[in-house]
Amino acid sequence: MIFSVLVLGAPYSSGASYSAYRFAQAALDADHNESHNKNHSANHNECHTIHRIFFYQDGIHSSSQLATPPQDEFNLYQAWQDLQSTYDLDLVTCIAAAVRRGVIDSGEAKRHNKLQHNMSTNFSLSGLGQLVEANALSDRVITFGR
Amino acid sequence: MPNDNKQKPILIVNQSAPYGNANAKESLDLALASSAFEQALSILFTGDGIYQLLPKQSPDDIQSKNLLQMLKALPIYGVEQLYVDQQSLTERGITELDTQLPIVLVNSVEISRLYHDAQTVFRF
Amino acid sequence: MILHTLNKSPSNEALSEQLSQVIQADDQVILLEDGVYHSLLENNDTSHWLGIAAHVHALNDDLKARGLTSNNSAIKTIDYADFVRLSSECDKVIAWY
Repeated sequence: MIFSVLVLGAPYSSGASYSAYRFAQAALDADHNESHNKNHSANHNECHTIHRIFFYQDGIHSSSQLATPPQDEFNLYQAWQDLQSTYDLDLVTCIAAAVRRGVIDSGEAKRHNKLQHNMSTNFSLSGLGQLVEANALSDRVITFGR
Repeated sequence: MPNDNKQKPILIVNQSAPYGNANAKESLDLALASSAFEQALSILFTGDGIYQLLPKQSPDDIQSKNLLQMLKALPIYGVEQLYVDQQSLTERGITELDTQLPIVLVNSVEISRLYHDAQTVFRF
Repeated sequence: MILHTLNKSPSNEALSEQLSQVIQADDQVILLEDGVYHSLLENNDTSHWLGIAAHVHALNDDLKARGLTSNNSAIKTIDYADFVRLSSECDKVIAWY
């Protein structure tokens, strides 16, 4: 089954980003188990893929490279980055929502004459068309709201 | 849109009043993106979302763009009908909505059908 | 069959009302985040989603975090793998937040 995930809430002000992370991890783990156990009939896990995870509204804050939680707290920002590298996930941050809220990549920094940029390179900035396309190409869109 | 022969109709539900937060504006942005990609799209206004449809909005002095004017442009983008929860109007004592909007009043049975007919529901 | 997810506590009555309006008898509900506080309630009212849904599940990690155990026999405790499985088994997933 092909999933896409929509994240609408920011870390700390909402549970959306963390819950979405756990969902994605579980969907990909099921996939992982399947590939390891495909010769064993005992395993009934269905094979899942995640087409895209789209970050919209306050959800865009998950893509900040600069957020630095205390070392004794779970680092959700890092966890997303690690999940992306491990599974080569397509993490897309809505460009309009992010630029408004001050999360920009190097390209946008150049375009808007900003000296700094703060978006993690594990995410990419793109338009809402990517969410519309994700809906068209996925069996389910799972939304994690504020 | 890549070749995809399956219909994935979208329902956008607006339940937030305009101007106090970005929900109404960011919902409209998604509606416009959906119609740009020629997706089957229905829009429902319910709860406080119906405040988006009040006439005579003039948000210039709070430095906001007029959301009502943007909603009026939806038919140009192929969104022919805006579904409005009749009960939400009654509960809020609203008798007058902007007359230039292509509004269709719906009851709870019709609202339930809108949700069931959609493949994906986005709520704002 | 629709899978509904709910992440707000029972104090958000407008949300419960909206869900109750849409839910049908063969639908399922997953309670997550503050939604798990609904597990403290019993509601057999056939106009309330708790009384309508075929199955109501609650995410165990979110229950445990909040000091809740599901004593409510009508509510099944699940993990994220179950959440994924239920998402694929139902025709679509609608989030209430």
